[in-house]
Amino acid sequence: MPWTDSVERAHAQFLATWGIPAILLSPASQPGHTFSITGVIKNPGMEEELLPGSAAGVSAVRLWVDYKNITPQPLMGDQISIDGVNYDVGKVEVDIEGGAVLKLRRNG
Amino acid sequence: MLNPAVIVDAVVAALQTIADLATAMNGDIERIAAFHDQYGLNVPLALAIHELKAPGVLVAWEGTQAATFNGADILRHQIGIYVRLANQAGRVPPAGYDSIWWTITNGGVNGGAQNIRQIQIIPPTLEIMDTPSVQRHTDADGLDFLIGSFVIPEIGDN
Repeated sequence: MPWTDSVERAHAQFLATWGIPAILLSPASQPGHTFSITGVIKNPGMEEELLPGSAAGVSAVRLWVDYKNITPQPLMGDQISIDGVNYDVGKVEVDIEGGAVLKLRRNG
Repeated sequence: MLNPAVIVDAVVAALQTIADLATAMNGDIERIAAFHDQYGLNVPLALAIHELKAPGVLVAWEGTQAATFNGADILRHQIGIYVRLANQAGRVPPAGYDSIWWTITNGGVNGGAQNIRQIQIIPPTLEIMDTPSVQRHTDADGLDFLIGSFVIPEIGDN
């Protein structure tokens, strides 16, 4: 199996196993629309007293997504809602296999 | 010596009256808040800075130094000002950390024309502050935030 296919299958398995739903809110590239995405919450830079991705929300979330397969792709300045809590998209760190970690900071 | 917690609260109250700063906080002055080192109630300062919402301003006592002025011993209270800016995407015009620090140090306080550098934050027990300083920092997620410093001499020993 080609390496790229292995990566695709791995990404799909990651999302199927650990993925949580999130909503991309009115991105700059397509304002006025919302898009459902699935991401995997990674360990934050600093642990907080709440569960990342919970309805109570945390201050900072690192959300891994299958970036190259998302349309539209979230960009810095967009907003993402997880479990009803809104976050700003800060840095977008794309890896060489097309996944990306979105560094989110709570805004509400 | 004046209780530094009282100074922190006074700085917060003064900052909350800066109209442009309130606007930068999305109109919510409660986002300009004090940190009071209350073990068991407050999280540690490092975590409070991490958890500071964007936008938000956190004011905390950093320490008090002994100093001399004109032959007399005085106390100089150092107050830290931690700032996270709101998402500027779509804002017209966008404002950066440079602008928000200018607003903090030059915006009129208490409904007047004088800025926070020109007033006694707690008259008559505090002198006007020394020239404030600020430094840019980067957090664990690679996002910027500011740490400003107000050093405020105390008049006498209260």
